[in-house]
Amino acid sequence: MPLLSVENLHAGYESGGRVLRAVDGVSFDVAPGETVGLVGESGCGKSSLAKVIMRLVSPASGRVVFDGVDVGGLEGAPLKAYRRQAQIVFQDPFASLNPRQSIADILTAPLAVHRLVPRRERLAAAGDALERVGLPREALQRYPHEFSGGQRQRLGIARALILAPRLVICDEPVSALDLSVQAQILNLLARLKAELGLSYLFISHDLSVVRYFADRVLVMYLGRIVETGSWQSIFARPLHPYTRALIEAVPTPGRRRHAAPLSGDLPSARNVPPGCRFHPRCPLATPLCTQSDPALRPLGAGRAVACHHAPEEALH
Amino acid sequence: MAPLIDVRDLSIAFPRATPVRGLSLTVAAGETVALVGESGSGKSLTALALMRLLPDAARIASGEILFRGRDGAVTDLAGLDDRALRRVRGRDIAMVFQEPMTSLNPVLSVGQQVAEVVRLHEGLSRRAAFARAVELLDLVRIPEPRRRAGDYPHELSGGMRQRVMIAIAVACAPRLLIADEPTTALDVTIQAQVLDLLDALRRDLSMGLLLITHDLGVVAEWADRVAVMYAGRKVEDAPFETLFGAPLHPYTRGLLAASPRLDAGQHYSAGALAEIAGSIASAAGEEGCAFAPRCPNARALCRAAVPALDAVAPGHLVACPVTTSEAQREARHALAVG
Repeated sequence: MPLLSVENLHAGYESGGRVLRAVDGVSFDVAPGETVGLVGESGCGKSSLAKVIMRLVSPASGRVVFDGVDVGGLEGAPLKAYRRQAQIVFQDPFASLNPRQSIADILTAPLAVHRLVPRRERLAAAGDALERVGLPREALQRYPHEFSGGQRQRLGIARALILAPRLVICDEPVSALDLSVQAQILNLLARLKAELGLSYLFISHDLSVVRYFADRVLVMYLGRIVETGSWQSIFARPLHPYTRALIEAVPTPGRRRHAAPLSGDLPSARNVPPGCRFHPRCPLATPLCTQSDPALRPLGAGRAVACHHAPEEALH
Repeated sequence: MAPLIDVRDLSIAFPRATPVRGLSLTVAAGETVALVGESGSGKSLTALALMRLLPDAARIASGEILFRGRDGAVTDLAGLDDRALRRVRGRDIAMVFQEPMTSLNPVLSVGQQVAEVVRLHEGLSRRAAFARAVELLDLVRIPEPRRRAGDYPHELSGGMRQRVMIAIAVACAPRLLIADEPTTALDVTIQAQVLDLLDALRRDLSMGLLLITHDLGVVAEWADRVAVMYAGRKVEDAPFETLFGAPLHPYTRGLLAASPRLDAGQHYSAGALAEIAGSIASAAGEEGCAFAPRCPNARALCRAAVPALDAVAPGHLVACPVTTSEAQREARHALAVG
């Protein structure tokens, strides 16, 4: 049984009397111990999807099933119990730690809220959490501004893990970090996953990072999943023209001054094109694509693609 | 070829810190030079110093910024007064910043903002300047430029706003364009378009392009030459093929090993990424090589004095005594054997 199952999920925001459909019919699973990478450009709805899964935003329709329980309608104690098991690490460690709280306050607060550890033992548990992410226990008495960006991201991870969750949503966890620190944090997340048997939903706009860190990859465009498959198959043989363009656009050593693979801008989720939502930017678009919205079609071998012009089955 | 800009031994100081020390750098016409480094390396301050746009608390403590003008005369920008600088800035040297939303004026249409530059520097009439602005918006590949000229910045996407910034920067066909993280705030498909555009303009206008970035992929594809900065100093300078094919400084090598690559076989399930331990903050107060606290090869001599930049090959400079002596030993060995 999957740990997390997202089924035909819709969610959006209202602005000026119009509905912006940020998440527009998304389905996928996360298996226990699996890292699912979610990749897409800004405005594609990946962070909104994370918020709906965390129940920070309520779904308009569809289901989020965690360990067999639909969490969409949970309130009160059951919602709190769910949030103990599903935690999130945010992109910006400068904005997500309260500057007026000591590290001890930041790390013991979740334990107090969830009444997980007796009061006398909370500080010790917070110290353990720090050591697990590679920071000294003495850091408990210090404040967020005393730490570098990489250390703050370690604190964010310690806070997410102190409740011993089973699913951790990492929303761009290394995007704000310098390259030399990014590798440290990716290695830490990989080690913690192995030690604690975690499952990750790993959200990133950086394809190189997703290729390194994901077991399975979801490619999102304007509120929809347009392609999914194992990391090997997605990067070796992308089938959706958007996935191909994303990979092609990444500057890579060994190539010189290649032309941009896509022209045009991302349309806004306020104004989703009819038919296939990618057709205005797609090099393969035909009249069919302007009229008919392609479904995410399974091709076998864990691959699925939403494109009228993709092959009928996955080739190995 | 004589360089367009020749920065010699530049140091930038704040009252209590000297974030850039002894930096030398050249850019020739038509050349793209990348200045690479992480936050705190001093790369953006260097860019601001070349434009003489340093914040009030900072000053150029020493060094020269020799700039070759259109008439071939060389001026030291470090010593120019405000009046003379105003003639250079925007006309001979222009700059594109990372975040176009904060660099554009929200209450003027983008056409007016482009026209303002040509009126100022080329003395065109209002009508002629606006016509020229539309041409420039077309030059930076903004679709329907005449209609778009009436738009305000908030009506444009991030990529289109960056194109407007580029139109303003190249309005007077500058000799040198400084682009400070021009695509960092943009999505990857838009980044490719903007780099494509900057490169085409460099070629068509024979501009020197100083590209400041933290993205090694961008450097590998678009730069001719690369200068790597660490904690305020240049630690390596090489043609792009050398820097990616045979990097020498331990920091450069560490950065290349730490970056996951699309074309590599690495995956977390098969092994950890190479790490550079610690952070750039450990450079504070270091007497010798600023990278020594994080360096796997550090010896006593590294902590004794700041390493000089040595030429290990034509056009390849490295500030690492350990690496340089090894490279020389290997070269001698090769000679003896060969």
